[in-house]
Amino acid sequence: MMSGTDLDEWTPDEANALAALRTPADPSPDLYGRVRAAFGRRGAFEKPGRRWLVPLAVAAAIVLAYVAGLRAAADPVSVSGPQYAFFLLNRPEARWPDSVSQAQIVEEFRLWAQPLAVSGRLALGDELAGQRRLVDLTSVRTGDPAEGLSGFFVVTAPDDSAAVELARTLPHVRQGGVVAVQRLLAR
Amino acid sequence: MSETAEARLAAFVRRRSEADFRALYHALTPGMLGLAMRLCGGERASAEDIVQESWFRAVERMDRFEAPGSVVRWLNGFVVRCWSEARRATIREEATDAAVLDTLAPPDASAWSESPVLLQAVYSLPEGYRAVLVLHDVEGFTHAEIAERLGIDEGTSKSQLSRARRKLRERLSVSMENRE
Repeated sequence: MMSGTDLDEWTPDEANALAALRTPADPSPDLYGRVRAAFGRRGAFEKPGRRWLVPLAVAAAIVLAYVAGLRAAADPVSVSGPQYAFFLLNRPEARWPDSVSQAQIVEEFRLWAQPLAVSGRLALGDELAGQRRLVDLTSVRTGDPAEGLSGFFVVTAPDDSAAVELARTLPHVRQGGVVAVQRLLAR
Repeated sequence: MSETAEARLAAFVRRRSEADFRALYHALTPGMLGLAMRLCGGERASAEDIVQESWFRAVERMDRFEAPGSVVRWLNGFVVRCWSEARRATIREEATDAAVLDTLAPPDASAWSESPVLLQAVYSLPEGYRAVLVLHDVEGFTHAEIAERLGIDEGTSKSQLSRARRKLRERLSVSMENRE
């Protein structure tokens, strides 16, 4: 078959034989599952802009809640008890329905945060923005934005069980998200 | 096929639904995998890893795909880049000496035991030769496209192709002699 006189050039038959090697290959049955699983973690099957819906809502709600809290500061409420950190953890499968607007999500978080701010039980809270960097002694890596923390609150609660019950009422939890609750070391 | 692929891509970019992606995946993955298999010398596991990574990158950049254009060609570009990165196959000018490239081990013969003679001969080429020959003579890439995707210059691509063709002739001669 390979009978060209010029070793660097193909005859038409040779060129056709090579072009005929351009054939598709059937993927293994599990390949789609592998691609699908990784896409889910990266949030590929979401409309652009919705990935950060929850943390943005947390930030907006906290601003609104603090406005209410500052108004209440003129008549401060004495609150005692240990403080707890609520860490809002991202979960790939936790989603707000597409029918719920950004404004509705902000309102959900505001309704949760405002009574705490007014009563003086909400000490702190914020969205975690930008890239998450994973740092060790020898490297700095960029974390997957679909995983890890999206925001946090610091609240005052009478005890551990009350803190857990309060965390359960977070809109983030109602939508399938996870909240890590830990008591701050009293000083 | 191409129009359908572009329509499917547009639908996925618009809705980002898994159903649209599944349709896109099933229509285009066999072509991507075929190319990856040829680049990998018939090693399926490596080829599927490359296709998986290619889909990740493509989906991240899909809203930047510029129509009119060939979706197949665009996706194949990711396959070539991923293969090049995975294999660290930066075919630099100083590495084009035929003797150096010939020291690279051919792939495992079991990978092409059921392939036709010509494909076996292509698989048996050293990696750098095989890549340029597959891209130019099988896939129809230009030297400029090969140079851009493999991170080499056009002159290197041309000289690699020339050597790859000679080497392929040698391999086929040996193969035919062994059969006689």
